[in-house]
Order: sequence, then C-alpha cells, then structure tokens
Amino acid sequence: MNEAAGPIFRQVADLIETAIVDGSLPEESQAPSTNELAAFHRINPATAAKGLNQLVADGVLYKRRGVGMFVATGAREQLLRRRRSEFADQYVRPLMTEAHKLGISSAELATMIDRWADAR
Amino acid sequence: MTAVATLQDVTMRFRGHTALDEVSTVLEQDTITGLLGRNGAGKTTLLQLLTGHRVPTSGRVEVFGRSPFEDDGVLSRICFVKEGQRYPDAFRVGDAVSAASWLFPNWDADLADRLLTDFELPRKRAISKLSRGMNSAVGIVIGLASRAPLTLFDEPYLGLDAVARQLFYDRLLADYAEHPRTVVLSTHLIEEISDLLERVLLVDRGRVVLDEDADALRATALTVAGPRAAVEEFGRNREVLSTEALGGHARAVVRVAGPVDEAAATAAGLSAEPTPLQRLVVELARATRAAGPAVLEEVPR
Amino acid sequence: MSRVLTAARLHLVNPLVMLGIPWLVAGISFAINLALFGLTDAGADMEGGGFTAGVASLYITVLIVFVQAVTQLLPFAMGLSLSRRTFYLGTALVAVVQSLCYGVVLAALVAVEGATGGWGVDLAFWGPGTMDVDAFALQVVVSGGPMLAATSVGIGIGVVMKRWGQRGLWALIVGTLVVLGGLAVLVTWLEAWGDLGTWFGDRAVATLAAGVPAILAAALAALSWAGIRRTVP
Repeated sequence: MNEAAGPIFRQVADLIETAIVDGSLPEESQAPSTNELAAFHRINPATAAKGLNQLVADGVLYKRRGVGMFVATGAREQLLRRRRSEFADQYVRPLMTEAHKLGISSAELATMIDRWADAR
Repeated sequence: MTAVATLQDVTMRFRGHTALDEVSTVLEQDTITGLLGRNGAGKTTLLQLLTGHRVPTSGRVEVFGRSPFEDDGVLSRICFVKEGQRYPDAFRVGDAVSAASWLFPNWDADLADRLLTDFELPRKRAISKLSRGMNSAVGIVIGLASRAPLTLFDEPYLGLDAVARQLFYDRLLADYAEHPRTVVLSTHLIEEISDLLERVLLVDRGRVVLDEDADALRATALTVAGPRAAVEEFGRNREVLSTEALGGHARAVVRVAGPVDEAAATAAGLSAEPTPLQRLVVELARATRAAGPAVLEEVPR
Repeated sequence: MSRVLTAARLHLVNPLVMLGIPWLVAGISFAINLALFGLTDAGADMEGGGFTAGVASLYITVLIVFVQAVTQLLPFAMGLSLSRRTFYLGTALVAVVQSLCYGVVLAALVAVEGATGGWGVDLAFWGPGTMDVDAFALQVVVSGGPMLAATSVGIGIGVVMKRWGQRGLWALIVGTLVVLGGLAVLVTWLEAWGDLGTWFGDRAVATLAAGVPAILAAALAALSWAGIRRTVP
C-alpha cells in the first residue's frame, strides 16, 4: 500500500468502495475476507479487518454470521451520493487552485472542460 | 485485549552501560509488533529479557503472567529466532528442524516441510555448509513452524536477498492470518515491513520513544511542503521533527493532533501528506538524539 | 520431565559424534597397542602381563565431547526455549547413563581381556594394572566411576567457556595449576608424600576409582550448576 496516501485501513476501505461503485463488486455479493485482503495487499489482517469494519459501520457491508461480509443493498447508491458530495472538495478545489496559480480564468476552465467532454 | 508480555520499569545495566532504561511496555495478544530502533538501541536486550536469557537489573518482566526466567512452562510457549543463531557443528538442516519439533507443542510439521521447500533448504545439508542467508532461513522455518504463542524474530533476515525476505513476510502474514499469535519483529528494514505491523515499539538508546498503533502513528506526523514562510508559520506552534529548505521552498515533518491540522495545512496553501513509518522513525530517532548527548554506544551481546 | 528427556535426546541427535568418536579413538589406540604387543612381546617381558594407559584416550575423548556438548548445544537448546535447568538436567542424565553403560561395556571388555589372556598377547588395555578387579559388578563401578568424573570435568569446562569465554578458560587452567602446584608444595613442605602414598595404598581400588570420582563429579556438578544459571547463550 502507499504509505503516503493515508491510513492503510482507509485505503483498503476505499478500494472496496471503488469496486462497489464501478460495479465489479455487485450488491449482495460477498466481499473479500480479512485474510484475502491481508494476503493480497500484504498488510496486517487487523488492518484489513479495520477497513472492513469501517464499511460495516458505514452500512456499506453487512455481516452474515459464519459466512462473511456482503455488500448491502443500496450501498452503491449511498457511495455514489457520498462521492458526489465530496467531488467538489476532492477534485474541483485542487483544479481551481492550480488554475488560479497559472492565471486560468473560470471561463477558460469551463471551455476546456467542454472541449474535453466533446473529444471523448 | 489480553497482555501476553509486560515490562514494567525495566532497567538493564552492563558494567556502567545502561542498555535499557526504565522501559515499560505491553505486548497484546495476537498482534504483530515492530520492534524498531538503531543498532545498539536495546532491541536485542529487550528480547533477551522476554525469553529469560537475561534477568533485568531492576524492574519486572512477565510473560504469560509469570517471569520467563528458567520457567519451562512459559518458555515452551515462546520461540526466539535470533540473528546468527548457532547450531551444533554436526547438525544438518533436518536435525535442527526435528529438534525444534520435539520442543514446541504447537509445531506444524506440514508447514515446516512446505517452508523448507519454499526456501530451498535440503534436509540433508549440514548447517555449517549453508550460506549466511540459508542459515537465517533455517531460523525462519523454525520460527514460523513453531506456531509459538509468542514468536520473537530478532533481525531474522541476515544475508537473505529481497526475494527470500518477501517470501518470509508473505508466509508470516499468511500463517498469522490462519493462526493468530503474538509476533515481535525486530528490524531496521522498516519500509519492508511497515504494512505488516499493527503496533510499533521504537527504542532509542535504551528508552521507549514510541509505543503506538501503527496506522494511528502514521497520522500523527504530517509531511508538509510549500512556500518557506508558510511552512515556518505552520510549524510555529507545533513540534517540528525536521525541516529542509531549497530556495523559497521548504518541507517539514511536523507532529500533529489530527485531521484539523491537515485541513489547516491545506488552507495555508501547503501540500500535506501522512509521513511514512520509516521516515517518521528516522526523524524521531534524530530528534531524540539531538535532545540528548550524541554518543553512540555499543550493546554487549 | 519430558523436556528433560528431550534435552537428553538433543545430545544424541548425532550419535556418531557423541558415542562414535570416543570409541573410534579408543579403538585406534587399542589396535596400535595390540599390534605393538603382538610384534614385540612387550606383554611377556613385563611381570604379570603388560599394560598401557591407552584406555585413558577413551576418557579424555569423552571429556572433550562433553565440553562440546555444552558449548555447542547450550546456545542451540536455549534458542529452542529450553531453560538452563532443563538443559543441565538432560545433560547430567546423559552423562550418568552413558557412564553406566560405558562401565558395563568396559567391564565386559575387561572380562574378555582376562579370558583371552590379554587378547592372546598379554595386553591389559581396557583394565590396566589396578583398574582390573576380578568381579564384574565392581569392574563396572571401577571403569564407570572415572567416566562420570570425565563427563563432569567436560561439562564444567564447557560451562566456564560459555559463561566466561576464552578468558575464563585460561583462568581455569592457571587456577587449576596453581591449586595443584600449591598442594604439591604443601605436601612436600609437610614431607607427607610417604603418608599420602600409604593412604592411597590403604584404600581399596573401588574407593579410589569410584569414590573419588563420585565426590569430584558431585562437586563439579554443583559448580557447573552455579555457573550455568546466568549463562547467556
């Protein structure tokens, strides 16, 4: 894991969230186990468990006794909502800061975004 | 959480030299603790106390609720893999492994076999004929296959190449996940193992500098970078572990209280990142050294 | 208890070293003596048959093996979480049992030696001189007693080397020389050599070959125990 990218348990949780958001981990499917996560990311199982428990606390995953963790119904919608709300802060703010540094106006920025969207 | 081992106000002196000075710490059950520190910091002495190989000058050492000194009931639950373990001249790899299998109640013979294969250790080979790294690998095989409730690795990787070290970390993690136990990993290859650790115990010149949850620890220090004035301003009311400047640009490792500080740094126009363990340990060792007399001392082995 | 037995078992991991080498050395010594006696009639020339001190090689080799048993095995045993006490007891167990077994084997060899007229060449190798007593059980004690002493001396030296290193070994050698030399000076000064000789002469072989080693072994065992208590592997 990337140590400079914040607490490792948070990174584990983020990766699972991303998988749920992009659909590779559908709702009601089984999430990777603590040991699988530990082995794959080469991290302490306690750290992996902490990441999973965070998701349980957030209502993204739920426990099935003796079976494992599963993605809750509505988890994707919930995550999308949260990520959208964080989008401005996480992506627009640094974009604006850099644009400001380079003397790019908001209007120019908007044009760039339109052009990029067209090209896609 | 249950304490597996407790050190309370432990001091260890050798002829006027203090190897450990009033050390107190607790090893919790089923955790992997990184015992970090420079050479001669007191890591080996601490492990020798936990295994009853030494008796503290003062203070109390308890493992599984009893003093480990000469207590076979306690010792049979501890496996101590130390750097440069000596084996009898005539011993072959298989002899050492069999001897270990007689003495550790939780020994897993299948795991031992698999590890011997993984590390390419032929049972028939005389240990005295092994390379340094393969010699270390014998200790690693014994340490892992012992499944001892308290397993101590004291720089177990001497002479092992990066591939073999990674193999060790992977096998440790995999077996630990299946069979949780209390593991202490004494090392100065911090970067390689930082993700494996749940706890960090940093000693420097016989004193405990850090004794914390590894993940929480990373969040306790920010590496901030940006315009020099802003970096200096940010560090004014905080503990600055190190500062480096190049022209008008500066970077500092600063101890912080929480996310509030990260927000403050960002608001001040600085880039802020959690500090990797290795860097934090280096800076802390440097900072404590600068505070005290800068003398390098050797610990007798 | 089972850990004491395991500690004893550690000594026998390489039986060729522990048991083989002493007998190999003694065997070679025996073969040389046999050849010499066969070729030169040395046995017939001597009154009451010839004897050599060749069997001492067995005792000395056992002593050296036990030095190594401590210096090499103690660090390993402690590395496998054995307590010093358990290692010590296991080693002592091996020493006692081995001395007893060697006593029996030596007694058997002495019996054969007697029955074959000194292997046909009047050679008293396994029970030289006064070491040859005419009763099997007593012979076991007479041959096994010094063996026990040899093992304890070996263990004692091993402990000194492990605890105090090379310096300790030199101190031990010098100390032993000083003590023995001092005793010799004392006996000479008291003009007591004659009395001493008479005293030894008056003791039965069993007392000398079994009693003295037993006392020595017990004293060394106590000293070794004191020394091993704080040894760091």
